[in-house]
Amino acid sequence: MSSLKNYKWTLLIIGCVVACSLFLINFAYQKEVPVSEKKAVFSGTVSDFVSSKVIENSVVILKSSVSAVRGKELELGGLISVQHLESESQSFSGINMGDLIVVKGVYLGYDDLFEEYKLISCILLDDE
Amino acid sequence: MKYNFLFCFLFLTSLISAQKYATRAGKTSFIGSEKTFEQIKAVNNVSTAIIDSSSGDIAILLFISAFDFEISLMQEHFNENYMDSSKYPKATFSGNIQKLSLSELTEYEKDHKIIGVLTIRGIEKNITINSRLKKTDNGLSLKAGFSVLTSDFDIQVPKVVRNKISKEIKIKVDYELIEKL
Repeated sequence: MSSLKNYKWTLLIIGCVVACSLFLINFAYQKEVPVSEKKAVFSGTVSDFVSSKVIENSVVILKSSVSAVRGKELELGGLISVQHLESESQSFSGINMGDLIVVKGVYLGYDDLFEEYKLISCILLDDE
Repeated sequence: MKYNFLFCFLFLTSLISAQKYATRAGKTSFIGSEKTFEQIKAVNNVSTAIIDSSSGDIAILLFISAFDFEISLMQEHFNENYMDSSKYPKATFSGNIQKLSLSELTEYEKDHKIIGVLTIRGIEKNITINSRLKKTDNGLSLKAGFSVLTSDFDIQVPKVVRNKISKEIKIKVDYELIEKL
């Protein structure tokens, strides 16, 4: 009778350890939330973006015409460098200079070398 | 006379701009761990760099938060606990490529020493880097590897993880610079 009780306790402890381990592993290895699912703190035009003080590493949505196309990278309003998110398998290949686009991405900060604002992990949104 | 002056100005401007090479998508990576189960490594694919080939001057800027880790929790700890990236968002390097001569560069890598100042977490440190430069179809390729000490940049490592995080961080750069117009 007592050995059956011990067996139950052992099983319960093992079960708890396994559950805790699974929880910890899941927590440590959780994937980062994709940009498409993150909430944007700013949405507007390039000039509004420049005049507003958006903090670094925030997700923003910008609507602007493309001022330059540099391979995998776009320039908006002559002030913002936009680099696309490779993991979402979406490139800027179909975009030309002068196109009006809406992009969502992570604002990194101001690049003093190129004197431009930098947006990374960007995805294209449908213009509504 | 007026047109001659304008032509000379345009010619000189194009000559000066042709001497600069730049990238907005340089690859900077590091390994910062001892032999652990999960290696502490990250890559920044949006580093910016400019080389003035006439003087050999080089400037590099990268955003700390743009380092991409395989494990997002590691990335969070890196930014918040070790690098304090909200307070010190950028790391920079400003230096000079020794004995750089564009005419002597070929499609084969050539060793060059780069001497300059590396700034991380607002702390400046003089360093010498061994680099390999070569000409490419569109411009220049720069590859280099060097090590920095965490203690040099006041990066505090808690005792709990001290045996997992290396005191010496190995950094690699791999930049494809194109002629800046």
